Amino acid sequence: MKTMKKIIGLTLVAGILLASCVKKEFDIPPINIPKVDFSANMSIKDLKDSLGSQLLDSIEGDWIISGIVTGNDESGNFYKKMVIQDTSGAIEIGIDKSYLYNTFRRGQRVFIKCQGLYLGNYNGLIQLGYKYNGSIGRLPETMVDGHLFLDSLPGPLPEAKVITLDNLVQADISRLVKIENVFFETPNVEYAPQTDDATNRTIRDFSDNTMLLRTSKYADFSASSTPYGVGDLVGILSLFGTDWQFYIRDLDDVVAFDTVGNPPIGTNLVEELFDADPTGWVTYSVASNQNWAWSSTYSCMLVSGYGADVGSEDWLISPAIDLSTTTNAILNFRTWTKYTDGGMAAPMEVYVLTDYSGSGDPTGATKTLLSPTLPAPHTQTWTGSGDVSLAAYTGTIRIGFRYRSSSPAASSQWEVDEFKIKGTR
Amino acid sequence: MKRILLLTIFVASVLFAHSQNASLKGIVLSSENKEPVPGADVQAGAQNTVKTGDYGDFTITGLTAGRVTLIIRHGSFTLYSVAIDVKEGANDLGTIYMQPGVTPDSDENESINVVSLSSMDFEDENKGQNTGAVLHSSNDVFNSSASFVFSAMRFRPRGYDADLSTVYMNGIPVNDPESGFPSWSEWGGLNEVMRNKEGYAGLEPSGFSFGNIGGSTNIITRASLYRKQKKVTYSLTNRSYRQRIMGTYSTGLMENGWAFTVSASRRWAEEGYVEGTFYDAYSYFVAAERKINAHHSLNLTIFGAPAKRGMQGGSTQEVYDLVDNVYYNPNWGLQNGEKRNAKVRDIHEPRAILSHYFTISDKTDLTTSASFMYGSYKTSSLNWYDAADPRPDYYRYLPSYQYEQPAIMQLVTDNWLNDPEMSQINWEEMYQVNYLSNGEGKQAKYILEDKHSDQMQIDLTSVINHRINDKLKINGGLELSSYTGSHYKTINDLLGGNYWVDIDQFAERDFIGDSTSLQNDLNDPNRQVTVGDRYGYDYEIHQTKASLWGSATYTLPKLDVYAAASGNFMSFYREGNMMNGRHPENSFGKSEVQDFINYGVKAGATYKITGRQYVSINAAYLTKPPKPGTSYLSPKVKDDLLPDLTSETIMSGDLSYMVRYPKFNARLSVYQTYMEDQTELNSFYHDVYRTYVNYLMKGINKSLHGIEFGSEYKVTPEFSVLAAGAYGEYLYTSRPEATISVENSSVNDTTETVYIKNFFIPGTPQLAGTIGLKYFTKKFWFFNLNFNYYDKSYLDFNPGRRTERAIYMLGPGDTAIANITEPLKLDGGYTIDFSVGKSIRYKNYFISINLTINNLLDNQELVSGGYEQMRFDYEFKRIEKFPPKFFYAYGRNYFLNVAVRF
Repeated sequence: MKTMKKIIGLTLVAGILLASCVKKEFDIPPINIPKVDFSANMSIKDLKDSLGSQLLDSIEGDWIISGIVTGNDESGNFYKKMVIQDTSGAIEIGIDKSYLYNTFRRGQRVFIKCQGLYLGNYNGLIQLGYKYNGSIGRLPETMVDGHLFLDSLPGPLPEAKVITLDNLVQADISRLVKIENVFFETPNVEYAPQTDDATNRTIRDFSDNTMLLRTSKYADFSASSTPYGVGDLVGILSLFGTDWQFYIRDLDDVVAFDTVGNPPIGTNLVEELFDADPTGWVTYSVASNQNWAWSSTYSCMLVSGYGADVGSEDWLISPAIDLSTTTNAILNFRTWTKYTDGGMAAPMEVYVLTDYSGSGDPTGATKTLLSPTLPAPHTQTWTGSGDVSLAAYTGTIRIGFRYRSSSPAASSQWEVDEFKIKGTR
Repeated sequence: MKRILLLTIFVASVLFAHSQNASLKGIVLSSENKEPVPGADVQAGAQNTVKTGDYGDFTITGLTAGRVTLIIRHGSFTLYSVAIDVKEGANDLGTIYMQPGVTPDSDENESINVVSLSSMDFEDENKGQNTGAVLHSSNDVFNSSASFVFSAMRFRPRGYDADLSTVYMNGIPVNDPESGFPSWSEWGGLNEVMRNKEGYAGLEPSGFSFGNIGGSTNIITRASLYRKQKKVTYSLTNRSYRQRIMGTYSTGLMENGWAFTVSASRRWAEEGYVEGTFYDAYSYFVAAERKINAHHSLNLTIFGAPAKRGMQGGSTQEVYDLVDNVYYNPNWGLQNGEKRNAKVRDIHEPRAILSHYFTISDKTDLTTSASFMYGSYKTSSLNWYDAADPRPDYYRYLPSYQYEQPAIMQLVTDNWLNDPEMSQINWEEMYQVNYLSNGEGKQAKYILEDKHSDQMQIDLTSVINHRINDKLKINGGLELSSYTGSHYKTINDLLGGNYWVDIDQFAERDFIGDSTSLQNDLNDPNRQVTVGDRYGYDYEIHQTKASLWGSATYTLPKLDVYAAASGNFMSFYREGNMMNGRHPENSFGKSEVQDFINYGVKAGATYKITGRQYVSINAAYLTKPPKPGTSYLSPKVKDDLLPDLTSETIMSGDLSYMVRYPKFNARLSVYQTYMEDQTELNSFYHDVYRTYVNYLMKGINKSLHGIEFGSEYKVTPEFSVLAAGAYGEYLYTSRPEATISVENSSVNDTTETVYIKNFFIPGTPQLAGTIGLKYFTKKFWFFNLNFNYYDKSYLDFNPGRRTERAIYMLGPGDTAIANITEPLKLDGGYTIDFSVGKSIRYKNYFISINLTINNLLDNQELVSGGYEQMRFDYEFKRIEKFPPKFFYAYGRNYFLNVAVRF
C-alpha cells in the first residue's frame, strides 16, 4: 500500500501545482446610460430652413441639433434611415447601415453634430445625410460615431400631432402625426405585395380627402391585409414631389379599425367610377326617344332630353345591391347639370327600388325617394351627394336615377359619376 | 489492379530459399538507472523485428550468418544502432545500454497554429486537424523531419489527408469516426505516457491492424511497459500555451504482479502567440496492469484531457496590412478591459480501455481490448438576429468595400488605422443593444452559442499474432465499433439579453407570412430559449463498423514478403430530434440506413541486396466507405443524401531504396497513389441568402506521386549531418460534380460541374526540404540546427469559381476568366530551427534541459495556409470583393523544457 500512498501523494502535489488559473469569467457590463456633455444650438426647423431653395448643401457651421427618434428601420418599412423630431419639426436621416434600430430605438434622444454632413432636398423631402453622386445620400457608417450621439435611455415618444387630410402643411413633413377617422379605400388587400418594391394604398376621410399610404415590400407586415372599417393612423408624414405620403411604422400604428361601433361607415360595397361603359346597369326610357348613355368624353353617365321627340322620362338603375349583411350603408355619388328646365322643378330624382325585376319599366316598382344634395340648375359644377343613409334597407335594393324634361326644347342636361355605397360588414 | 497482379507475380518469381541458422539474444537496460527497457523494438536486418520482454530481454532467430545492423528503438530512448558480425548458431550480445531520449520534447501539434477555420469561411471547423499525421517511431530521418520540422508549415506526407493515417491505442482505433481524422486532442498533454508506440509509415505491414495508406500507429499504454520512475517536467514556451507542468509516476512491474502509472498535466496561457488566444488545459491518466500469470495480463487505462482554448481566425491581407500584424485575430474584443475570445473550443473526451493480453504459447499472442469513450466537444461562436454583423473584419466594414467612393474609403481606412477598437469585437456594444431590446421586452439580438459535437463510442478489437515457424508469421484481427455523434447548439451566453426565439431568421425573411417554414422545431414552435437550452438543430449520426483483417509475413535470407487483406462492413444513419419547418417530412426521426461493404488488399517485399542495401516495394488497393460527415447535404435540417453515394477507391504503391552503413544511412522512395470517387464538403455563411450554404463535391479523383528522401551521415561519432526532402505532385484528375444545398431552403438544391482537373491539391507544401546538423558531446550536450525550405503550396480554392456559372457572360479570351479560375500558388520560404540540450545526473536525479527555437530568423512572411472565400461575386465578377484569407506560420518561437526523473 506504500505505492498507493505515493500515488496519492503525487496526485496531491500535482493538484497543487496545477492550481494556476486562466481567467475566463467576464464581468457583465452594466447598462450604459449615455450622456452628452454639450447641447443643441439649432432647431430642426432652422436646420431645414437653411437649405432654402438649394437641392444640396454641405453643412459648414458647428450646428448641433437634438431630437427624439420617432421612426426607424425596425419593421423594414424604412430602410437605412430614421426620423428624429424636436418641438420645432422633424427630419429624416439616411445612414448607410442596416439594423439602425438596435441602437437608435424609438424614443431615443439623439444629438447630431451636423458639421461635415449634408442637407438635401429629395423631391420635396428635406433630408440629412451625405453627398452621393451630386445629390443627397446616406451618411457613411464610419461617420456615425463621430456625428451621432445618444443621450439617456429611450423614453416616451412625443405625442403624435393630430392632423387632417385637408390641411397638410410643409412644417409637418417627417413629423409623427395622427390622422383620425379614416378608412382604407380598398380593404383586405396586402399592404405591399412582393411584386413591387413599394405599394401605395389610398386612405380617405369622410370629407373625401385622400392620401397615399406607402409601404415597402421589405416591411415585415407587408403581407398583412389592410383593415375594414374606420380608425386612426399614426405614422410619419412625407412628401414625394406633389404627393403627400404617409408611412406607418408597424401595425401598431393602425389604431381602432374596429368593424363594430361608431362611426359606422367603412368599406365600399359598390364603387362605380364610370371610367368605362358600365355593365349591369339598366337604362330605360319611359318617354321620348332619348335615354341615359355612357359618355366616353367625360367618363360618366349623361342624359339630355334636348331635341327629343317628346318630353323625357329616362331611368338609370344600378345593379342589385345586397345589404343583408351590411349595416349603416351610405350612398355617395356626384352630379353635374347644365341648362334650366323652366317647366320642371326637380328634373332629377334619386330613388331606392326594392322590388325592381332588373329589366323593363320601373314605373310600377316599389320606390322610395332619397334626398341627396343635387346641384342647382345650370351650375355646371360637380356636386357631391353627401352621405345618403341607406340604413333603413336590409334586403336587396337598386338605386334609380329618374331624369325628366318638360319638353324637348326646355330640357336640362345631367351627368352622374363616382357612384359608391359604403357600409359596415 | 494490374499493378498488384504484376507485383504479386514479381514477388512470387523471386522467392528462393536460403538457410538461416543464426540467432541473437541480449538484454536491453537503461544507461542511467540500469533498469530493464521492456517493449523496445529490436531489429536485425530489414524484417527481423522482435520486442523486448519485461526484463529487457530479446531473442531473434532465423538470421543468416554475416554482418547485420542491429537497431533498437524505444520512444523514451535515443536510437541504438550497431553493426555486428553474426556467427552461425547462438550469439549472445549480453547487456546493451540505451541512452535516455534527449530529442527535443515539443508537442508535435503545438508548433502549428491551430486556427478556428480550415477551408471554411465561418462554418463549423473540422474536428481534428488535417495536419501532418506522422506519429511514427522517428528512427527514419525523413519521417522524423516530417513530424518535427515540416509540421510547422502544415506539411502532409505524400499529400495525404489525415484520415489516411490511423492511430490506435492498445489496439483500439481512435480516429474520429465522422471525419476520419485522428483526434489528437483526446490525449493532449499526456506526452510522457503516450511515447510507447509502434508506428508504420505508408504501406508497411503492422502486427496490430491492416494499416492505412498513410501509415498506422499503435500507442501502447500498458502500465508494465513504463519503466519505474517519477518524472516532473516543466516547459516554458510562447506558442499556443505558455507553460506546462507534467508529472508522471510509474511503478514498473512490481513483484506482486501489479504495475501502475499515473500522469497528469496542466498547460496554460493567458495569451498564446496570437493575441486573444488563451489556453487552459488539464489532463489525467491512470493505467493499472495486473500480470495474472505467464499467460494472462489485464490492463486498464483511463485518460482524458479537458481543454479550453481561444481560437485564432484567419483574415484577409487587407486587414493584416491595416493592423500591421499578420497574426491579427478577429475573434476577440475587450469586455470590461479583459480580452474575450468569441471562439472558444472546449473539449473533454475521456476514454477507458480495458485490455487482455493472452500469451497462448511462445508462438501465439492474443490481445483483446474494449474501449468506451464519451466526450463533449464544443466551440462557441457569435450569433445574431436582425442586427449588424459583429465580426470586425466583415467585408462591408473594410476600406475595400467602399472602392467606388474614394473619400469614404479614406475615412474607413483612417478609422482602422487610428481606432484600435475598429479591429476587434465590440462586446460592450452587443450588451447595450441587448439591454435596449430588453427595454422593449424583445429577444436578445446578439448571443454566444455553442456548437456541440458530442461523441459516444464503444469499441472491441481482438488481434492474434502467431508464428507458424521461423519464416512465416501470421496476424489477424477483428474490429467492432458502435458510434453516436450528437450535433446540436446550445446558448452559452445571452450577453445581457433575456431570451432567444428558436426560429430561423433567414427563413423568416425568405418565407414572408409563412409561420411554418421558419420553425427550427415544429414539435415546439416559437420556443423561447435561454442559456443551456438546445436549439437551432439537434441530430445524431449513428455508425456501426465491423472489420476483419489478416496478414502474413514470410522471411527469407534475401527476401521478405508480406500480404494482407481486410473486409469491412459499415452502416450509418441520421436521427433527427427536431422537426424542421422547411423539411417536416425528412428531418425528424431516423433516416434510412446506409450500408457499405468494403475491402482492402496489400502486399510488399523487401529484397536485401546486401546486409546494408535494401529495396522494398509495396502496393495496396482498397475501397473506403463514404464518411457520414460528407454524405448528407444539409444534415442540420434534413436527411437528404448526396446523390449516388459510393465508396471511394484508393490504389497506392511505393518503391524504396535504403542503405544502412554505420556512418551513413539513407532512404529514397518514390510513390504513386490514385484516389477515386472521393467527396468533399465546404460549408459557409452567405450573407445575402443569410444562411449557411453546403457545397458538396463528389466524384473527386486524385493522383499523388513524388519522391521522399532522408539521410544521415555521421561525420564523427559526435557530429552528423542530416538531409531530408520531399517533392510531390498532388493533382485533381477529375471534374467533380457539386451539389449546392442552401440550409434555409430559400433556393432549391442545384448541381454543377467543377472544372478543377489538373489543379494542385492545396493545403500542404508539395516541396519541403531540410538540412540539419546534429552535434552530441560525450558530456551529454547536444545541438541541432536545421535549415528548412518550403514551396509549391497552393491556396485552398473555392470550387464555385471554377464553374460555368462563375464565368457566365464572359467571352472567350477574356482575361477575367483566368483571374477567376486559375489557382493561386503561395510563395515559398525558408526557416531556421535551432535546439540545444543538456542531460545532467545529480545523485539519483536525472535532469534534462532542452531549448528549441523555431524560425530563428523570425521570418513572418511565410503563409502556412489559407483559402479562397467560398463566396463569389457572380454578378460583377470582382474577385477582390471576397479576397482569400491567409494564415501565417509563427515567427520566432521557443520551447524550453526541463525534466527531472528520479
